[in-house]
Amino acid sequence: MKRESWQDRDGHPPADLLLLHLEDELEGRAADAVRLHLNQCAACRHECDQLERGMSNFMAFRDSVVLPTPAPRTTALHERLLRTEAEGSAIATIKRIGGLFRLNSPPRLAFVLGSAFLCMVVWLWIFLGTPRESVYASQILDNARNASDSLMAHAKVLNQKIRLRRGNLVIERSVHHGRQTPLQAQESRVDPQLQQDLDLAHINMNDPLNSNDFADWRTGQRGHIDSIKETLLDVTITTRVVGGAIAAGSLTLSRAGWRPIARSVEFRGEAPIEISELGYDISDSTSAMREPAIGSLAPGAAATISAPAARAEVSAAELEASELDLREALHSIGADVSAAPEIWRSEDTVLFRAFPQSARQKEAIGGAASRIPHVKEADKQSARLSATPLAQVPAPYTTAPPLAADLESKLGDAQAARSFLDSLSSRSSHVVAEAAALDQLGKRYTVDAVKALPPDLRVRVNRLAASMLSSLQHDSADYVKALSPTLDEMAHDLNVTAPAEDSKNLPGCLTWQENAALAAPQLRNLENNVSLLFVPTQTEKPIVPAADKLIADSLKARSFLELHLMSTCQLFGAN
Amino acid sequence: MDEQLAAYVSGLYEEHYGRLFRHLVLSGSTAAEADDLIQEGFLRLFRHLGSGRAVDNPRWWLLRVMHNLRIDEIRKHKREFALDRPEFECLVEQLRTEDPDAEEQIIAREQQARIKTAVGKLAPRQYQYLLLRAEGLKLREIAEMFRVTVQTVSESCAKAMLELGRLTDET
Repeated sequence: MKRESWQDRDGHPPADLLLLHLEDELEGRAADAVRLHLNQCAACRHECDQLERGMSNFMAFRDSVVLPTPAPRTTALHERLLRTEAEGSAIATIKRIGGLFRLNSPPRLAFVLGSAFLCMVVWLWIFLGTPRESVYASQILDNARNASDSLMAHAKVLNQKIRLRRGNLVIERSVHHGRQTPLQAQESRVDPQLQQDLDLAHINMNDPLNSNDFADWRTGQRGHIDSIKETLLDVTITTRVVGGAIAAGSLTLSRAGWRPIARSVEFRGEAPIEISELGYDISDSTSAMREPAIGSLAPGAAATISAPAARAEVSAAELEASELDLREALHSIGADVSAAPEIWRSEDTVLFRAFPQSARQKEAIGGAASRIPHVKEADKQSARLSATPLAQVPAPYTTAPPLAADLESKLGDAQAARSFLDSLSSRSSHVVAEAAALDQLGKRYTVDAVKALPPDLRVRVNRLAASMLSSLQHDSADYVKALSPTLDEMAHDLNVTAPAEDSKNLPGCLTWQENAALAAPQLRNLENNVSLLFVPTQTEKPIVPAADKLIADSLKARSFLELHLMSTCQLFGAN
Repeated sequence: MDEQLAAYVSGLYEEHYGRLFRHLVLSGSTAAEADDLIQEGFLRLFRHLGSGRAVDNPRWWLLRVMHNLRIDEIRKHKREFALDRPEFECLVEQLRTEDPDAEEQIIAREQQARIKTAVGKLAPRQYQYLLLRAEGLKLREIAEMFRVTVQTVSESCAKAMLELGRLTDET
């Protein structure tokens, strides 16, 4: 930057020039003059020191702020980028075709419209069809990766006896997947052509069913199309590829624990490669490698986790770690919210009971829990579950929603209002469940309880809470965003303003436990209020909902959520 | 555009996510907004690179795009406060220490509290400029981002830095 008149009234350069000098962004005569002046002036040199210290103080402040950072959603972004690519190509093609023809000729116009329609069908197929399967395939592969990581985190090794078949060639061998395992023990001595094809398909003969290798291969395929076949016992992802030596590849995962049990590769002009699991075993990585009994286990059979060496008793620390393992595992498959699990401990076991939404989720929960030591699913008659479901008695009164008609008239018709309410309802029930799950976690791991944990477990509890909180913040923001335009419009029509903010009495920053405990009832209130405003609701007592009060309460609940739950201020215990 | 580019951009996303998230949240975005802004920013980077244009410094490019996206979002929702600095009273800070009672740590804590108070008193623009400066951006680049002159940025930053520097003045 060039500055000619650089001196201030006292004959010293002003602070902004000194800063530009320090940043090496000063040019011309001013730069030379400032340099010369600094050589002679101790006061200005001191000011330069002060500027540098100021920046360093600011950076120290910035670095001291502790923020829970969610994990990057790389898979979601990657899928989005690929979708953008497909969309971009389709639009470019339509433009190119459009440019070739003149639209004043009826047959040409018909041709152009026909082509455009065809492009639209292809576009819809790519945009709506493939990505959905593709996203699901990515999720399944993420599950497999998590399961594999979890196995390694517990110092377990998955020993598999596998069979590779290509035409008449059959190879059987033992392979081991896990930490501290001599993976290279068996040197691959296979036919060079076969080895070349295995390399092409990202198959490592030391661990040929590795789901991460399949995921890498799939990600590297340009314009692939995924399809998924599900049975009660397993899920198969088949990825078809346009062009290249490989026509398709597939990976089959057992639903019990997302263990890869088969993989196949179809080549163009060559025999396919098929790899399948003959038997498997899970052992401690530190123990001697054991040969699994071939054929002793059918593929897809229940896991036989090798029992740890007989111990006199389980320590409290081990139980604590197992409980946290279970909570993390349930969170990783979303069951901590949707299956509302209850977790408690007996003397030497962590017991849990979940309420899965589907057979698939039940399998996933069973698989996840089966890999964790000292964890057992409680039977249904467990004494812990004192609450026997009460017979559902229909409530005798039905409310008249005061703003249902207004909503219909604002949104156009009853159908639009219904679809708006359905969308709100699914969002609100999800965030209420998320808040309840976080609240449960907060009650289990109170501030004092977290402090009492060993440092590594403390970090894990904080991470788990941060991850749950981040999802809750994201989904709550989504819910509030969907609700706000209607709520604000109704508030404006009724001349209702947000009541004074009670939460100002709360401390500026809440712990995640406090936040969860306060957010859960606020979200429930918001859900109930919205329901009473727009939907006939069954009640025990006769209620005449007052629109202005319900709107005011809703605005208040929203303010609370925006001020506390969605704020960046979340206090976590010291790591 | 091809799959390789998508993989490259996804790799950049994974590499820069934590730092960008932190920067956006410290700039006043909520966690959810920051996450969405980052996704949108990388989507734009993908389109930009895919159209054959180059980016010399992806992080600086992303910071600028995300800044513009934030401004658009603020205008759309008329949420003027969003450009403001976060509520410092709400931000949590902690000294990473095993021995919080040690005398040195107490002094450090007091100093940190003074700095926090001073940062809380900065004007929103001063705070935003310093945040970007702390991210390694040149004053010229910050001026370009906010469409102001370099002198405006340097005056604003110098004033803020002198105030913060005086807090730990050793003379």
